[in-house]
Amino acid sequence: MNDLEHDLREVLDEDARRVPTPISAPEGLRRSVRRRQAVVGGVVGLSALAVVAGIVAGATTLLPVGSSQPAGEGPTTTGTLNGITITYPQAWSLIDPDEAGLNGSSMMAEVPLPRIVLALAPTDAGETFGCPGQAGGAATFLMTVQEEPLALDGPSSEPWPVDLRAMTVDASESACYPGWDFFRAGWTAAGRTFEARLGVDPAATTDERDAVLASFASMSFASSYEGVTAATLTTGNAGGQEWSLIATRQSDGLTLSLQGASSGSGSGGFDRSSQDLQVSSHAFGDGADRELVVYGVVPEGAVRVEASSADGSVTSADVLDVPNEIDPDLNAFALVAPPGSVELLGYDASGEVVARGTVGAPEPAPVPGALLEDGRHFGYVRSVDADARTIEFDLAYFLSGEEANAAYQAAGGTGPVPNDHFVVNDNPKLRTLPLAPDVRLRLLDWNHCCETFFDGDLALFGQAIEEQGDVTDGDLIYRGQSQWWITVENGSVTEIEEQYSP
Amino acid sequence: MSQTTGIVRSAVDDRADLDDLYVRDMPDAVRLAALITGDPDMAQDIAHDAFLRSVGRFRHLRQPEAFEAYLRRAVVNACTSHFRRRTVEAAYLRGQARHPAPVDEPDHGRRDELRVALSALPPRQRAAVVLRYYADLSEQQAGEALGCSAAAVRSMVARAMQTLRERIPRSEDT
Repeated sequence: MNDLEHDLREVLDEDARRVPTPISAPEGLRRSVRRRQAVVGGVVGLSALAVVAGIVAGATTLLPVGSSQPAGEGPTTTGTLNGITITYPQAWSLIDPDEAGLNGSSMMAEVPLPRIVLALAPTDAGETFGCPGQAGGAATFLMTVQEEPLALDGPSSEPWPVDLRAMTVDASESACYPGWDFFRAGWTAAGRTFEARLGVDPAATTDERDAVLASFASMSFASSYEGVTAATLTTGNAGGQEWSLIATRQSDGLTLSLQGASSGSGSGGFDRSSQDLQVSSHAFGDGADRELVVYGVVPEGAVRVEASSADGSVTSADVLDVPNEIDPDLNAFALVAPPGSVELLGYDASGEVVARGTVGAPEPAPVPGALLEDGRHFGYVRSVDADARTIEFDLAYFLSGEEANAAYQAAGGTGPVPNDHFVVNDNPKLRTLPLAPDVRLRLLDWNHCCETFFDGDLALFGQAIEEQGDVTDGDLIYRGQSQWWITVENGSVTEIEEQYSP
Repeated sequence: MSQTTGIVRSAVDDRADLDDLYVRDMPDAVRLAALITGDPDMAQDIAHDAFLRSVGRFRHLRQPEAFEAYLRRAVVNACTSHFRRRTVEAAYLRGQARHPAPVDEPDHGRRDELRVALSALPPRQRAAVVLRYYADLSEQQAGEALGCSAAAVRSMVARAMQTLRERIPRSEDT
């Protein structure tokens, strides 16, 4: 971290501490929430009616109607929202999710997928819709359909029609869905992928249950006007977590996102002229279960990617075709590898290497006979290679007390050692040690000497070592001729701390 | 997605939950808004409004556990909208109010210069800097809050830092 970033963090923290913040919820908070929901609910009710009325007038001439008809008493109607046509009892409400705010703010709706594209409920009032369990028994079910990135792989790539399957959900404590049964289904139709979720009140009648299941079965789908804007290229399991690799078409080109149940990562802004593999990675799991998902884009011609890990294991994966509507030029890959540094090779159809790449934090580089065992060591830093992230370290011994006196006198000194310490350095061997990715550089703040440290910048530290002199950064001083304590963990230097010497 | 969430769970099922949610998330929301707008009073209104809006829609979200991120996005969105709404005149007055201290006033040094330079950044750059250096979000998370890609966040922060470096010379240079 450099001085500007350091100051910036401190200024922001300082300013944030000065901001008065609420320590309790204001009176009337719930009323405010309800009032806002009532406004939204009014809009939902009116807009849903308008949508249904408009569709009833034109449905038979503009859109095909499925052969399945919902059971139950009363007439049915057919409506279409976001390219989904559904037949349902006329007394129910087909709700436009965007107008109901189900996709969040308008800014959230700009994110194309996933996005709720249809909701069906027996009621249309805002808060009732939001919390059926408090609606006095009128709201006996709620179904939402969410459009997902086009599934080219995985269970959601199953073609329509599909069955609703029970979800394991404990809703017994929920005030909004007390004791409800839940179902879900995922499928792909007309080049689009959907997921439906259905919750049913235990008080729902058999006719109502049959009717909602028939409504679900009646759905038919039209292709998206926008074409394929996002696609799930592949799915897998790493570190005990399910993950999906999703390609999305955005204004600045292809974006890849890796989504796990609890974490994920993404990359974009790819260099289209690059002949290298453009690679990212994300680790799932902990300890021995930890695994790396390596993913990225390949240059033209590559059909397979092979990964060699530091432990000697090799994995490979075929290149994944990114739909042309998302990106006509780039294709992608994803594979699972052990944690640590991974070397990647891209092969063409004839087996020739056409691209290379690396990713992952470097494992400790084995340098036979020159490494230090884990622990804290004293000595001198003789050079710093900030690019290779290594240091040359001259191991010495920092003695104090009687040990220091004895060594001092053995070296020709008389009496007690000055300042109660003595450094022994009679082995000239230099050790090249790798720096951990998050190595901490604790330097003495000589302006507030000598128990205050600051986190130093590796490049400036290297400059001071190279010049064997002082390098200043504002008020901060990097001393090239200091002595250092380094902490070694798993063969890598995790901390370098400056030793005060008068 | 956890199957215990989905459309079934609501963190605002009763008054106590709503209060807890408010007490838990509002301080961070207010601080975030204050740092982006530079206006603590306005920040209270922005954060409160964002909270109400988020809670109203929270009931319908499929991932209720994402409320914190959703609220953060609502706050950032409201802050940038706040700047968009400002007229040229208001922007001028705001600029006057944040003008560096006259030379005869006490010199508060580099940090005050940094505050002035920070407040002069374009709103989205400022928001990106606050999300990265105050909220400690990753580029990906900051992108989600700003509604853009991680690469765009990296670019905005780099431009902002370049501007700040140009406006805040190193101490030994002054």
